[in-house]
Amino acid sequence: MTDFLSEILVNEKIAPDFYRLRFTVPMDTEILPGSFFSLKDELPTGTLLRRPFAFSDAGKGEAEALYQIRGKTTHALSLRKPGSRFQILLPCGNGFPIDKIAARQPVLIAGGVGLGPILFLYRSLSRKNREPLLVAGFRSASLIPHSQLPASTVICTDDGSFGVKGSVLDGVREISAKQPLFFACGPTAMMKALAFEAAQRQADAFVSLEAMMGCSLGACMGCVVPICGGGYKRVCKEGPVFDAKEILWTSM
Amino acid sequence: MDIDVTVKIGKGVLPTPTGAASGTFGYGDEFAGLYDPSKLGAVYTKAISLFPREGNPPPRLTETPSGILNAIGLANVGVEAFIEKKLEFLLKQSFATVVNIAGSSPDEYVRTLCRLSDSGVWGFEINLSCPNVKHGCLAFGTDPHHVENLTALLRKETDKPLIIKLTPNVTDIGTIAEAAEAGGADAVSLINTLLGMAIDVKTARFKLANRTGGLSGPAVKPVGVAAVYNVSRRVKIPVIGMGGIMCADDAVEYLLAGAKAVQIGTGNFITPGLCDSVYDGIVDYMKEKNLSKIDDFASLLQDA
Repeated sequence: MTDFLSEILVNEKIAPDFYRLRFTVPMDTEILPGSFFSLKDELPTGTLLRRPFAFSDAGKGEAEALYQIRGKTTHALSLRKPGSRFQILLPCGNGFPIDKIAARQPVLIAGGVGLGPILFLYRSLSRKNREPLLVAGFRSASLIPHSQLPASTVICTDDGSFGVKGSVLDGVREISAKQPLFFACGPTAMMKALAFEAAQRQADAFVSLEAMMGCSLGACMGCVVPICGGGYKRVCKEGPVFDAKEILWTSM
Repeated sequence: MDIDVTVKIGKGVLPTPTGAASGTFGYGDEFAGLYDPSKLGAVYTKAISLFPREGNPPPRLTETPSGILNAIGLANVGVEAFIEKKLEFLLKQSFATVVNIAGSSPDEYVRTLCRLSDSGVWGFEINLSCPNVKHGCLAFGTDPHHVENLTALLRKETDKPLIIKLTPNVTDIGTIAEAAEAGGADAVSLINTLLGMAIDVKTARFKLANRTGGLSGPAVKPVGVAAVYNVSRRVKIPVIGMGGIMCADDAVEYLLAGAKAVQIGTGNFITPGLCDSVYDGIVDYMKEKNLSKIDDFASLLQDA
């Protein structure tokens, strides 16, 4: 783990309130799809804690993240110009367990800004010739960051203004995958629905969860999620990627 | 001029006046590589109880103006797992390992402390101030008789430095500090978090599952500084100050107010290497003001 002074290389709008950030990272740090970094906001926004962001790409001393303007920190971040710097703690968390794929068909599911880590996984699996399928859901056609999406992406919109009308699960039903293995990142409700869908299909699903974090490195116990069989696990340390079967969804 | 940064607490000596506050630094290992252990005086461990505790349901944490509100609920591995899995790393370090102990009855505090008394730890910080659990802690820490009796019970069991951690959620923290001193404490540490609440008005839901939480961060610093100033004039034992230290100047403020040592808590979350720069800043300040020892800070303080 390093607390690194990073420089912004690209900070571009890819859809309304949706941005792609490219920045420097230490050359020798291995960054896995599903892992994240914790950003310290040096601007006078009045916010205190760092904010966690999933990597959407990494390699050769550079990395990317997709983010959505949700509050003061992300708004301030959207105004940053290339060349400005911020402090990032990295790499945090585990990553998607791609060794579990074996002979199964990886089906990647993204909801909204959850696209970032899913795109990273998609590129990584494509390079390994694992031919992943990608399903991405958005609220409406105007919010789709087309420049980021591979041509084969099954796009779903809640209002039916583009692609499949409905949730990403409706999109998943459009594709035929024998022995699917699901990897997902999106709103909690989406991942909860996926967990039940996967259980019905007797398939495995690995989901990347989001939580308010204190330290992002396992010390404060602030970001826990409830686990089946009792107890809690830390999103920042044992996660953010969990086997969906592990999570006590009824308490989420 | 030679500068002596050590701090005497009971029969022990802290190598430097800076420490990482309980609950914000885990058991020291999580922050490995992000700070310089040689500049750190002490790690005050995540609170340890006799048995493991799962803690409160999430959400446990939220941010408020210049502060954070937490209701972790003393989630910890329990004293046996602490000894087995966490202690070896801590005891190898140059800083003092101060085990923070929480319990739901006097007997639990005593048994946890006794289990650790021959373990090689430097000393104990007794948590009489966590606002986020239903039994023990705060319930003991707001009553001077309980504080004196429990301190005396623990004093009988150990010669190691015994620090009582106090809550600001009382009418007069000085009375509680005097009770700890009367019970035989070697020092008091303050302040623990302030009881608080936050509600999401859009959803009309509590922000924390526990409804209430403990407020920390820059928002509480003036409360901490005032408490340290008051308590240091009421007791002869050293006062360890904390609450919202985000930079070296904040720590110096506590030392000027009467603290002999400081703890960095919430600040560790934002700057994992904060303890280093606080230590450096304290030393720079001592050089600039020609202070040769930590005791010299208090004499500098003047009226506005």
